[in-house]
Amino acid sequence: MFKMSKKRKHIHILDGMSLYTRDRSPFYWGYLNIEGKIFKKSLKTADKKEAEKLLFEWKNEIINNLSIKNDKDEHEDHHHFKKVSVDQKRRNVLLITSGVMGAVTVAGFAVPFLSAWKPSEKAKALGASVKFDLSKLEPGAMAIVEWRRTPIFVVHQTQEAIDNLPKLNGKVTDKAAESLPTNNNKFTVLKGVCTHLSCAPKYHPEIEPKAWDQDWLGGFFCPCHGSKFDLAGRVYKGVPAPINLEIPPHKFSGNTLIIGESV
Amino acid sequence: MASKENSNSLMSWIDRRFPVTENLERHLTKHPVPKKVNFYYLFGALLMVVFMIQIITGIWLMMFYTNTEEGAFASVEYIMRDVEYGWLMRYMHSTGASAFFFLMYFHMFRGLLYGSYQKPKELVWLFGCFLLFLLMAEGFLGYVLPWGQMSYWAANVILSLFGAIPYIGPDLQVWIQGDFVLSGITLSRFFALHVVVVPLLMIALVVFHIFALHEVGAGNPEGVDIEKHRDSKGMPLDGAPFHPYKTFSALPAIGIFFIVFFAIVFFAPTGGGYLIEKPNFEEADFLKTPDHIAPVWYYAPFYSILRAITFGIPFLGITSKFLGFIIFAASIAILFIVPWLDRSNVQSIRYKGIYSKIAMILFASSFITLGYLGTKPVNELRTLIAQICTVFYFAPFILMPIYTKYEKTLEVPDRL
Repeated sequence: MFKMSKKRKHIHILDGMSLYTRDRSPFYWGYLNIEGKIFKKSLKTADKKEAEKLLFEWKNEIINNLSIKNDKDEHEDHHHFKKVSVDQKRRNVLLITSGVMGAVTVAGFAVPFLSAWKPSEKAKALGASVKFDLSKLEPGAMAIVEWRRTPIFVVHQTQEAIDNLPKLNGKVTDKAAESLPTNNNKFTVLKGVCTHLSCAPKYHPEIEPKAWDQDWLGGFFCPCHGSKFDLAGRVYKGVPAPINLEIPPHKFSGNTLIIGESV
Repeated sequence: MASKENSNSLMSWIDRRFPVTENLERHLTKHPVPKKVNFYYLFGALLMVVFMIQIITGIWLMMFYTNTEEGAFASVEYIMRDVEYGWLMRYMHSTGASAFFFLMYFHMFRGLLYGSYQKPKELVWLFGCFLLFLLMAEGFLGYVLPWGQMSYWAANVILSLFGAIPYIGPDLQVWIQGDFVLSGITLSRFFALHVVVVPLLMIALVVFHIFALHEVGAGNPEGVDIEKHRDSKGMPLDGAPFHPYKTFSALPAIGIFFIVFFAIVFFAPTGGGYLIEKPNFEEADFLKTPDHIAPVWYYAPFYSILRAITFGIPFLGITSKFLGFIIFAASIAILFIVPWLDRSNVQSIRYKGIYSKIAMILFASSFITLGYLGTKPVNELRTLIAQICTVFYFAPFILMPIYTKYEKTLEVPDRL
């Protein structure tokens, strides 16, 4: 790997430090490379250990001299050149203005990249309102209408359900929800998305003891984490869901339900 | 190296321009590592192997995958049925994800046991915690891509967590999704994040993790500082060069790992529904939630913590859902500050006191219990157990500054 002169012998000590022999010289010679400057001299000894020791001493000597010289140079600089006073105020103005300009530039470039993540025009158009014909929905039945890909529960409440709902006032957190059906409007419109973690609650209108509730009077049960809602979407106390099933913006126009537009 | 200045060899020509030899020596052939370590110290090497598997199989999957709502599910079926060895690529990638987490959890548990986060290794630990966070993000993003039922609904659950943040939540969720609901728009951006952004960050952090480690030196199960005793050449007496000693000792471990890994890939790639869940073989249907949404096993402990929080702080206006999100985030965030929680004068659990040992047992058993509960449907009893385990998950960390300071520790030997 290494090319070596037949007559010369090179002994590597450390990076930039080596010993070598020369033709017709009985002594070891030292080689030093200190900060790019090359130094060579005979160490005047034929003993390798001694030569190594001398080489280290010589290196320290050179380094010491260099640092003294450097200090001296710096010292002299003060005499030769008039100290240039730095106008710190001016410098601060420059720093602040360029900093602000830089920040504005970064923020400006961030706008298109961050805005690109917002719903596109196409996505917005797909989020438009939908119509549903209520005349075919029997009492006690529930239709699932899709709006913005969300299942919307449209429940036609029975008279029994309307009478039963006040009995649950003690079990739900919010007695007077606006989704409560009345004798004039027996339709309940809810987002079919559990307010806990977005699962779809299941419609269980039957009045019978359930595994999750012995006194079940009909309602919605979320199989994911066991949240319970009554038929008007009011959330029971002590379940993971924090609030009632949400009510999507909607309005009635005769027998037509329009989801996505508010009154 | 004998005479860098004089030699004309090709290697020294390169070395003067790009220090190959110097860095090989620094990081491999002259990098000292402790002589005596146990199997816990192999997980780092195995993690590198798995990361490589994920990158290579990922690139090949990307060649056949379609990142649209209409095409994603079908393209995964196409990979499975029509592409030669496509099934192998996909199952290696999906099993690789599980292996990544499995190894990562053991790798980090090793850190907790043997104090691999203590001064001066804080940054090694921090970079590692960031890697865990990125891995969790990467796994989540990747799980959405096949666009199966569980992909869709699990993503809905996670994205709705952002919606739970007060005031900005709903808008933030729409911004992340790029739509009013989780849709193909979301899928496309998740694809970009999964294949470019997160892997790039992970590669950078792996480099930082290893550079930091090589600066401070690897630890050992005894917590002995091997730098104290050196031979005349400056090599620690209790150390050995990384290469060939550690590289070759890692080879059998990699062999054993491959046997287990490919046994799963070939014979149980879905892991009975734990590695790839059954609903994910059905295309995403946004009107039909699966009856039971369970995360993949590696998220189960954190998911359990999330749903164990069934109460909010009403007078602060914090709902149970948002509090769940906070505690869930805290369960990962608390790992980041462990270096500043441990005030023990010894590193290794072997020389720590009884309280540290109890704390580690509590932490490990609650983590496993939470993991089990996370894959099961909820009921009252399970919620209660999950709540107790959540307390036991946090207690070892929160109480760490107290018990590590006052407990009686054993004297650490001088030599390994």
